[in-house]
Amino acid sequence: MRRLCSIFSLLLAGFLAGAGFPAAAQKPMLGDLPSGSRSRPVHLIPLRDENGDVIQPGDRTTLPFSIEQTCGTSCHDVQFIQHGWHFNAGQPGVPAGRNGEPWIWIDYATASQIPLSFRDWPGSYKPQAFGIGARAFALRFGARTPAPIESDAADSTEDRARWSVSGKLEANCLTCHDRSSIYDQAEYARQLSLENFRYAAAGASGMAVVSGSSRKMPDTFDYLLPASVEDSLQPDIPQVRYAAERFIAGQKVPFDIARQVDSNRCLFCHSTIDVAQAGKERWKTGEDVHVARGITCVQCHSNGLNHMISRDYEGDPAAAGNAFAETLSCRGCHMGRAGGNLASGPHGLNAPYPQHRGLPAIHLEKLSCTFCHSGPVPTDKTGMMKSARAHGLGEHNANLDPDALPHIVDPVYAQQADGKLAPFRAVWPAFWGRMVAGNVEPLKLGFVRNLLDAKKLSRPVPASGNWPGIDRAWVRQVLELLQSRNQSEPVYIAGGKLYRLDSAGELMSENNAQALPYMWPIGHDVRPASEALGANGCRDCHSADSPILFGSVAVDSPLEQNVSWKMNRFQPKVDAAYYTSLANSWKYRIWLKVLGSIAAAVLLLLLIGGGYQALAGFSAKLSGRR
Amino acid sequence: MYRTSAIVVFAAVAVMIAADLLRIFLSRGFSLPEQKAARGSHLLRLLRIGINMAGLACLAAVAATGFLPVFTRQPSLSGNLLMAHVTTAGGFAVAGVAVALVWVSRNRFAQADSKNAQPDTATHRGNLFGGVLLRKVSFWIALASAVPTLATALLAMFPLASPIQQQELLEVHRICALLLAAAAILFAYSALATAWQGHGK
Repeated sequence: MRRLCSIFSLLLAGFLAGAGFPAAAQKPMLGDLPSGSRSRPVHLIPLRDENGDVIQPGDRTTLPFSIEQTCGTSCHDVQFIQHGWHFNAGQPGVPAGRNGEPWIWIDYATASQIPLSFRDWPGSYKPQAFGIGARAFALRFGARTPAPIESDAADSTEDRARWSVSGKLEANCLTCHDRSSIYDQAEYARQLSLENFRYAAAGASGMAVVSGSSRKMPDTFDYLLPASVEDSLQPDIPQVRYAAERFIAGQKVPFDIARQVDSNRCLFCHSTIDVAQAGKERWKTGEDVHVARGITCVQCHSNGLNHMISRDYEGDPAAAGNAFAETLSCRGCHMGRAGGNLASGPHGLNAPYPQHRGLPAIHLEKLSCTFCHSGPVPTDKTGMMKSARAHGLGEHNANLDPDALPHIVDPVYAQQADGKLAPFRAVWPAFWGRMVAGNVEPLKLGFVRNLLDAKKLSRPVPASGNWPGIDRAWVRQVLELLQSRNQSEPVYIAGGKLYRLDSAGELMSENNAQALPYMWPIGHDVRPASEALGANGCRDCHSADSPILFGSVAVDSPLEQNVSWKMNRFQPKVDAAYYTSLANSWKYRIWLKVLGSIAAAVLLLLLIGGGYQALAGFSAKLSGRR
Repeated sequence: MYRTSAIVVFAAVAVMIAADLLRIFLSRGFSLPEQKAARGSHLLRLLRIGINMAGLACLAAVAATGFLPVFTRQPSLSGNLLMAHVTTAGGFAVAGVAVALVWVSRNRFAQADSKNAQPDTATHRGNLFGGVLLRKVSFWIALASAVPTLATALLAMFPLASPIQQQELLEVHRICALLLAAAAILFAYSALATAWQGHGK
């Protein structure tokens, strides 16, 4: 019996490990153990505050509910979940994977545009490198991440004091899993801008109204003793008022929680739109073919309890060894049965097997699927796009001007790490730094901004949100100013160039690897076969003016306008001369087809004639006639 | 596998030609045979020679560009070499048809061919390799393999076959092209040999 029990325990442990449960977890929590039911569990649960106490609408001082306590006290292992992809950017030992969309920091005063990431993505910078602390990051980008944000070493002294006023920014499960139509992610962003970190989830949930602003509260403010502030600040004290009718069954409230996250939730942070299409009525703009067919984001970008959402590209280190996750890439889903005519796809989606009629196989070896199928259709010049994370799309105060920073250029056709060509988005970095051992070391943004403020050199924010007006004289002035502040060899990176002062004190520019754009591959929107490159024939790409090889990539710079690079500058392994001659030869291809067809037909006729004669001779011999 | 096959086939062709040359040398000591006057006008004769030379040159070019990656162990025929191969293939298609038209009437099989296959003890003119029969057989093999060689390449140029089917077409193209090259070399040799020995009819 004991032996039977131990075998059962081993089997259970194996099952749990396979399902993505933490190895250390002795007993899965109530909500983390799949029952096998396909129905959606009802979430009728008590709200809990930061200390885990149950909130009742009749409390004398109502407190905002804590998501970590409400979800994690008895049902979900929130700590374990916080190792998932949306949470683990700053955690050690997490493979960075291929480049993704960065957090793009804009500082108008210093004419800076900086791609930031906590992951080791080439071309991006850690926020700490620019003196951007957790608090500044939370204020700028906190609404676009469900990850918790707490004080870190890069926070300034003032910022550290403010954390106790605003509260820490907890992991926000609701931002993805709340399927209620009144859960308001834009309100969450608004609450963060008011520094109401502690109150933001309650404000967004639709079951409470949050008023006041922690930003206006003094450093000594205690949210448990709100009345202690001076009278003039009383109206701005952050407060939460719950809708009493939401509390049913005693102290419990219903949440509309879905394990399968609604795409609408994903799109709040992952929407993109071409600048050319911005302002147009939405029904006239394009849509990803999968979304148009009714497939939701999480049907492909799936995860287990560990919340390690699959990124669904070939070679993702996070998917290594996970046979199921590997079926979620384009090839995995559409070409699952190599050599066959059918692809099954995961989840019984029965993804169509691509016919690719007339496409030589070498294209599949040298191009990613996205090359032909993803992103905007290329034209002779790259366009610009806006993203929800970079431009605050969907927020109440988003600048809708087409020129608003950051400027994200796409599609740029460049080589991936595996050598295949793929479409990318690119952002050209612009920032101040200094040369250290041949590398550009970024200067702290606060230091540069204070210096410019003091000398009245800070640039104002244009109404359009475009680059502030600067020129070479201003850059030279700032470099001289930085030099006078003992910053050895100060430099300015912008528009693909490094600007520095030469020995005579004149401004000079040169190429520098750190001035190259930060680029990340385009996954969506996916275009169907009828809109893919090549749908109009080989000359979509094989022409002397093909945008994928010879198009112009806009070089975004606050200093120089209308500068562009040829696309093939981003394709070091591509022989442009060869492709030019190949493209030029394409016009003769039709003649080759005609000549070849005629030749084959004549030879076939001769063969048939010869065969006929041979048969006739054989017949004559058989019949004994000469 | 294909590389080994190509080496074996070309080696066999070389051995056949060498053996025949040796046989001719042993039987006649390389004395020039009496040439028969060619039929037709001088202009037509020149045209025939021109067509044959063009065919030979195109065969050499298309075979060189096609088989170079095979013998130099390159993974595939691509880049400038592929462009050169396709360009010369166009020329070869035209010249090949012209050569076929020039030679088809002279390569019709007749009952006498079976006798010609036996060594002629009176003249000591061997007929097995350098003879008319070899020329005719190799001509028809070349013709039979040229059609699928061309057809497979053409089919791949139209939006008909999937990448996997194109790979299969390419395999057929490679196999047929090997046969074509071997047969064309033997035909060229036997045509020269028969012309040289006065069997040019």
